[in-house]
Amino acid sequence: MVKILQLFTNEGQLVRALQKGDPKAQRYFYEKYSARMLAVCVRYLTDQMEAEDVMIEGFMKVFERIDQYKGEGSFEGWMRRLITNEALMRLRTRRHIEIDIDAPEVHQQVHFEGIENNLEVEDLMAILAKLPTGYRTVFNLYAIEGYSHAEIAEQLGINESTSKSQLHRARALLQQMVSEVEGLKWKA
Amino acid sequence: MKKHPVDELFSRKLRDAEITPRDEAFQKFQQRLQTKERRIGWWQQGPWLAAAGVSLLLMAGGGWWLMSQPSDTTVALSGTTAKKATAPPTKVIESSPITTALPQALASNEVMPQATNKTTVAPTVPKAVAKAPVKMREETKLEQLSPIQESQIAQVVTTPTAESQHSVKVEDAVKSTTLTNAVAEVAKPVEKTVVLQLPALKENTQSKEALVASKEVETNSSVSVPSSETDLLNQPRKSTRMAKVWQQLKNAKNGEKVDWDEVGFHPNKLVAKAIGK
Repeated sequence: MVKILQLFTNEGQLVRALQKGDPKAQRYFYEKYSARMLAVCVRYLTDQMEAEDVMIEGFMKVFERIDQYKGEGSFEGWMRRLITNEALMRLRTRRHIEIDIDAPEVHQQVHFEGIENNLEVEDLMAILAKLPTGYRTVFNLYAIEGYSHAEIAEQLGINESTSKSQLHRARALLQQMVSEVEGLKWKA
Repeated sequence: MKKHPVDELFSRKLRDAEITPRDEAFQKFQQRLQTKERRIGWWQQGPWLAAAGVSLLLMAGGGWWLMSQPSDTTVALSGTTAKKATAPPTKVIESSPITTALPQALASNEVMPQATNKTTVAPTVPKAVAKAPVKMREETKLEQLSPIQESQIAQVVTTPTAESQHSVKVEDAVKSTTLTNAVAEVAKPVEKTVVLQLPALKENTQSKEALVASKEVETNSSVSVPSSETDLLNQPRKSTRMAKVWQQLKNAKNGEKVDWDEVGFHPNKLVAKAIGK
């Protein structure tokens, strides 16, 4: 592994090696990005085994389309978009995306100052996993990936207004759940 | 634009979050890679690709050579310049290697140059010629004859004269002129391969005898062909095989699927045999 790490000291070298189909580069790519990309997939799919499947499929897509990467923007950003699309495709094929229009409104306002430091990544992942699929998907795309509502609407085949309302409800639910978890932590 | 606090919290903590995959995931990843390598591996192996390319070229060249060999006849043009001047549209040719071996029963054609350039001679081929083997080139040429020409040819053939060895038929000037015009309109340029030994024609255009053993006439001249030979025209040409190989080569170049059955061998099998897998 030390030798492999020496071979690909920067992203450009790695991309060139991947474009040549170098197996060492592919293994290095897995070692470098699998943990981060698995976290992306788990955010959408919640199940780790399924997320691993999707991640591997996404990596194969990256290898297939590596020639399309022209160096515009970061390589990781380009790859993350492919992985995200793969996760959305999995959700779509399994009809996991239900737009939860009828979910109850959350009126409780939570003040976040000071509490987020007590929440670990695992806590936030668990909170996110409790969201309905539609809320979680829109929230992931907008708040974490940085998609616009127009892009989300196109990706999910919904209206922009639906995307906005889904995001609004997702935020409210997340606030509520964060405060609950935080309260439990304080009590503990 | 200020981010919503919930968005900011989750984005900051989860965007670069990491979850270590299980070992099974890495094994699965490697399996997928190996499957992919098996599927397209030979493209990326330069030496094997080069070897496959060379063997393909050898096959193609060999095939072309084999196909071209039977019809490979030496061409020698001899004749009087006066002949060219007298009958430009009808070039009388003789296929020497095959036809010189033919018995004298072979009928002969003769071009009888007329006094003027406008008149042409329509040679006739008696039925004795029909029994002689005729090369594929003749057929491909004749294939391009128009129905009009063929009918006229048939007309000529069905009227053999008693003296078949001296089967020279001189059409009258008007008829041959119209025939030549029709031929000139319809006939397309074809590959001309066989032109041999035109006897020095006597200036006496009234002479009906010719010493030429057997002759071929180019497509723009009228030649009769037996019906058994015309059947050969419908047979698939040998060059279609080459076309298939070239098509598959193009597919390989474009990264599309290559049907190795069309090519005739399977490189993956050869490679597998070479490396002993």
